[in-house]
Amino acid sequence: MQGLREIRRRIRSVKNTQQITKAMKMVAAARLRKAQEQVLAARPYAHKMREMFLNILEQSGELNHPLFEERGDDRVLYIVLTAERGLCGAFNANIMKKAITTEEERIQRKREEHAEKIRRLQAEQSEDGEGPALELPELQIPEALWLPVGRKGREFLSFRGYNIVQDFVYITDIPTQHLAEQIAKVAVQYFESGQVDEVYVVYSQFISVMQQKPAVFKLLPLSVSGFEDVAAKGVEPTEEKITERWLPPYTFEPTPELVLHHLIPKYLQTTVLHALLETAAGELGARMTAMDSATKNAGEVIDKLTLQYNRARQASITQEITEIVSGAEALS
Amino acid sequence: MPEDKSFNLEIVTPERVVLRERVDSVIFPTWNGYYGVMVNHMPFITGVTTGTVTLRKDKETEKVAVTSGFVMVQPDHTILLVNTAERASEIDIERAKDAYRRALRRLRQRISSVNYTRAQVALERAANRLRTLGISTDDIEI
Repeated sequence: MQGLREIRRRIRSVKNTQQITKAMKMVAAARLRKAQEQVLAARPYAHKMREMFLNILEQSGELNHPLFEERGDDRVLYIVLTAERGLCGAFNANIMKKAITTEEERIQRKREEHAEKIRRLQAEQSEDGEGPALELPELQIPEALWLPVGRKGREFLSFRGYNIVQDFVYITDIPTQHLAEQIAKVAVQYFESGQVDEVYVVYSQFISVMQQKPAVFKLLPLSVSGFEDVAAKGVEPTEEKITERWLPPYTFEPTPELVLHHLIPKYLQTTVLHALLETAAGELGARMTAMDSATKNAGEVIDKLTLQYNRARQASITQEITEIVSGAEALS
Repeated sequence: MPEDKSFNLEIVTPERVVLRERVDSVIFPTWNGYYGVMVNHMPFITGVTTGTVTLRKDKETEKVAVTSGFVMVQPDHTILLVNTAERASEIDIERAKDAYRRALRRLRQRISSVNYTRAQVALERAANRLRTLGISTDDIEI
């Protein structure tokens, strides 16, 4: 049996932990409200921006803009948005898992493509009959580049030896436009200079306070069809639904190209900001849930320990009485 | 009954929807100068620059200070997507004046180029707010 003092000490220690988790839960809850409001307030803008963008693309048709150039998926850059801090359940782990599986799937796809290519070459050769030994192309998959945003992501990636090209850490709770702008700029730099063929963003969708879903979308190259509408869900259809009747095509002042030229950076920035906001709100939601269950668990442990403590106390009293009684009996 | 000549106007920034209401006309600053729009305007898209948006409804006018962005016009719907927007009623006159004086003072000192650009932007922002309120920047004594 554990000593009384020992148990008392453990109860105290668990109580202290519980106080901390409780406080963290409250803080997360308070911040979550703000973050949630921000996500919701930012959605109309992102949504309208996208609408405008699609309108332009619809009308100008084929565009000769460098950011639309499809170059395959040999070299990719992953921008991974994670939290600054831990203690939020599996939140960060889930995002990283999503990022890693996305990359693994890509490698798997490349392998299969390569195997297919070799099979084709071999088939061609056997048709030709005997020839000189065929030189088979070697499988080459350039290592993916990683750009973590948030300390947890950087720790994870550097610990596992991934190729980190740059990072954004010590970001604040509420992501700023400035940060989104910087991230978008880096993405464009890597893409335009031809260092990568594709840029993906891995982030966490904020579904509800209890639910976050890690997700990936392609940031670059821009494409008309493959748009991830990060802002679409949750946007209430505008009360004044834009009329369905036929509209004459938009005219652009001064030209579609020029408008697009200005709109693209803004569009990228908005998309990144939106992903950042969703991730930030998700982090707080995850922390609140995690800390809530931690507080509950601590309560259970305290109850169990208190029971144990009372039993031990009772046992020692009983023992003392028995000792006194038997001592008295021995005397008489 | 007179024909209803109003249409929907929305001014949206990344932070919030600043304004969403029916108006009779709107004038906004574009890359090619100020542009006025009334109901059933031909659809067009262009860029917005820093300046004052003037909207009119039932003979009342309201002014909104905006910074750069885009505008999408449809016959019965005009959407302004701008970086920042403040209704005239939200602007603090004294703060705007102070900001204006401060920026001007900084520009007069010979300082590093980064701070110079920053001060220039601040000056423009403050001046825009003041102009929206109808205060001439010439009237401000330094």
